[in-house]
Amino acid sequence: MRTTLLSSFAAITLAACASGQAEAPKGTIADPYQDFNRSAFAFNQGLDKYAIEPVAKTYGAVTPSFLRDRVGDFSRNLGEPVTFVNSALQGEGTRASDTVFRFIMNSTIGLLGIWDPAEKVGVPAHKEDFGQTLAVWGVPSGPYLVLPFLGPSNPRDALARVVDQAFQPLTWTEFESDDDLDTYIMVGSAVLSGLNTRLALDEQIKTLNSQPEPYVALRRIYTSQRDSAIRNGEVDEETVYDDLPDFDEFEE
Amino acid sequence: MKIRDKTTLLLASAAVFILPSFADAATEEYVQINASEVLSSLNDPSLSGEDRTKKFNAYMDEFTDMNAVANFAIGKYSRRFSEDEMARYRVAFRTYALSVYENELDAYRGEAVVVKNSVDRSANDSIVNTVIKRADGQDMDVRWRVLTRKGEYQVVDVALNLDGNLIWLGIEQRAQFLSLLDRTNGDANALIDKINSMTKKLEDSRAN
Repeated sequence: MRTTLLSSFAAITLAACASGQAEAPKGTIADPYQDFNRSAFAFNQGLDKYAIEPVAKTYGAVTPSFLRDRVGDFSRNLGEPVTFVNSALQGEGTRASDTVFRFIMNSTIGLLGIWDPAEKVGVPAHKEDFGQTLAVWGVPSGPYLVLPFLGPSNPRDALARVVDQAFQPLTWTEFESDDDLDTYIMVGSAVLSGLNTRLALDEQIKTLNSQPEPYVALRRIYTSQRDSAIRNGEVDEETVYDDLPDFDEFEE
Repeated sequence: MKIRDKTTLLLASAAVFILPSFADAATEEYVQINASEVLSSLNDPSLSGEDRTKKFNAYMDEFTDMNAVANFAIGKYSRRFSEDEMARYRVAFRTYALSVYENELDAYRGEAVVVKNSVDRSANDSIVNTVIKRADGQDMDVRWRVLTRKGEYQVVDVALNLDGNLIWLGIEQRAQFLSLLDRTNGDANALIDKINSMTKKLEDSRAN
């Protein structure tokens, strides 16, 4: 049953990837589900205003930054296997080996990842996910999508979240002492890491909400940040100016 | 072919290849000088806050054609607004844009602008890539879109490179303005009110 559902989701998602790309004019972002997306965006904004922001601020007030940093490091370390698999799938040998080095060093000397000594010795963290891997393989993103609770995405990245979960070793781990411990670790880490992120992004969220069209601003930010992540933060100087609009198109 | 004809042909051929590089150098120099002046205007300790803003605005008016940028930001609606709406919109936009630029560039006040290179998109449309060297070592990759219009250079947009993510301030603004206008049936007053409220927020945050 689960396999059938996953296959159907994958088929629909990949079909959406293929169709959405064709519909987007050059330099714009395909958004054929805008009505649904705007509803989901409004829902997420309400969720943030009335639940996430107050909880995050309370969490920030009652925990020292030192502790929050340890939570952040632990959570990032849990995600290193996912980054490793995706780096390897993208043929990024150096980034894959860096990730292995980080995971081993931080899990041992870093006491199960609550410290990040690897960064101190010049191997900083980076993140790769299956959405980036699919993009490197040439799978188009498909149209813009806003998911309730999860935020901005697209069919390719939405599907990739499911696959990345399968790359996460804790998904397949059972502790003898407590069958549910792996779930507690994963959920607890995700929740605390989410609150850390919300605290870190507080100023940016305020700026976003003061824009004339926060929905449009977030759509552009998400899309361009994903493109940048796929290029590992490098600007493609060959094509970077191709989509600039004609400035004098509406000049008198 | 006579020697004189050959010489003329040679000079003409050379001009075809040489002129673009002269154009590049001139555009780069224009950005180098003017961007440095703009940033230094933000760092003049002898000026009061108000006078500094005035000086900055005067430089920006020389550096760019604010009315053209305002037109660009509303695209097709620049032909649909009435004269009165257009006049009020331009005033609101100019005030807002100057506040945004002053805020964005304030982080780099007094720093050196170093031109890296430039790319010609067409004979009249170039991008000048610069690095703003900061004393704290956090250099910023800033790109300037320069058009040659009526024989004069005009900077029409500025991009900041944030971790490989090139953010063009004018294009970002345009996407949002157009969306707001699309959703309000092209209501100029809705846009002008929104711009004025954003300007007030910027000014309030600077005052605090």
